[in-house]
Amino acid sequence: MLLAWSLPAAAGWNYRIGELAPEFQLEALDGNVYRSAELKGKWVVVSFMTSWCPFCNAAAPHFEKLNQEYGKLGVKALIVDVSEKPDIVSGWVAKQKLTCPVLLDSTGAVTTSYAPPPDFVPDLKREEVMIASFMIIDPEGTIRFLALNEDLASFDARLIKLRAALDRLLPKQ
Amino acid sequence: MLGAAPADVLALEVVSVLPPPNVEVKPGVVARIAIQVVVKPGYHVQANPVENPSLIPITLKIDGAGPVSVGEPLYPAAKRLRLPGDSHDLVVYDGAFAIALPVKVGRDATAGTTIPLKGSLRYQACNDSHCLFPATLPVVISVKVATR
Repeated sequence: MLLAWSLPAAAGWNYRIGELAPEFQLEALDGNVYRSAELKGKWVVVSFMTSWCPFCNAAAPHFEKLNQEYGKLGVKALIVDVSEKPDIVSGWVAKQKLTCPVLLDSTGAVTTSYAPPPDFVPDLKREEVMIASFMIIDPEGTIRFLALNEDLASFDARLIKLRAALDRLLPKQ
Repeated sequence: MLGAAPADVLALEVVSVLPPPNVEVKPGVVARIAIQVVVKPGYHVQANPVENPSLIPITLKIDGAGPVSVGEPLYPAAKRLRLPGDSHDLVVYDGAFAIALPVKVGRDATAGTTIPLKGSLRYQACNDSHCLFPATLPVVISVKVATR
């Protein structure tokens, strides 16, 4: 069993780390339906994004680069778009040249299920807390890393902390 | 505040709109009305225009009514902000600022008449660590027809 403290939290807290990732079933922009159960056995990186979010726009090119590089190592990268219309998401994905699956969480319910409890930034909706966050889920379905923004200085557009966590967690080739 | 606030109220509390209280415009004259907008400390909203078209600029939409016609809003100069690791600036507003709205009253308007102009302010706000869903506030401006 993995212990929560086995992966130090970069920002001083470790919400959701060590928990099983909530189950989901979401349709993606490509028309396929993605089920969390089908991702078991793979390392998965998930980012929750929206087209209008400046943090997401800053990080998206770096997420695509990460997808290209770590995809070769068997890592599955996914973006969960939070509560937007598919045509808007489609235009943004094309502009950003994103090639990973973009899952449409039209109600925000899946995003909410992944959010930290209300004691983290209590005055925001849970979906808003998750926008521009990054998560690593291991092959057993356990959340091993969650990067939430604490302040401007902790924002990691280049995904340096996410990459470092992947490098630490992935089995050595 | 007493009672549980609906979730939608959260975003609305970030921005307040203060239409001018006593607007009087003479018939045949174009006046610029200053709509004051106040952003909660620690937050900013995307300016108009934005440089990244994916972002949502603050947008004032006011419809003309009766003898009052409305022009395109004039937005103030923006501040520049760069997120760590980003290669582009954001253009934003914070604190208090004004959007100017050109208003013209028709020459045949009756002096003393008050015409309510209705519309909305759409914006998308962020603070240093999080972004809020886009939100829309109702805006009502009362324009009184002044004597010539």
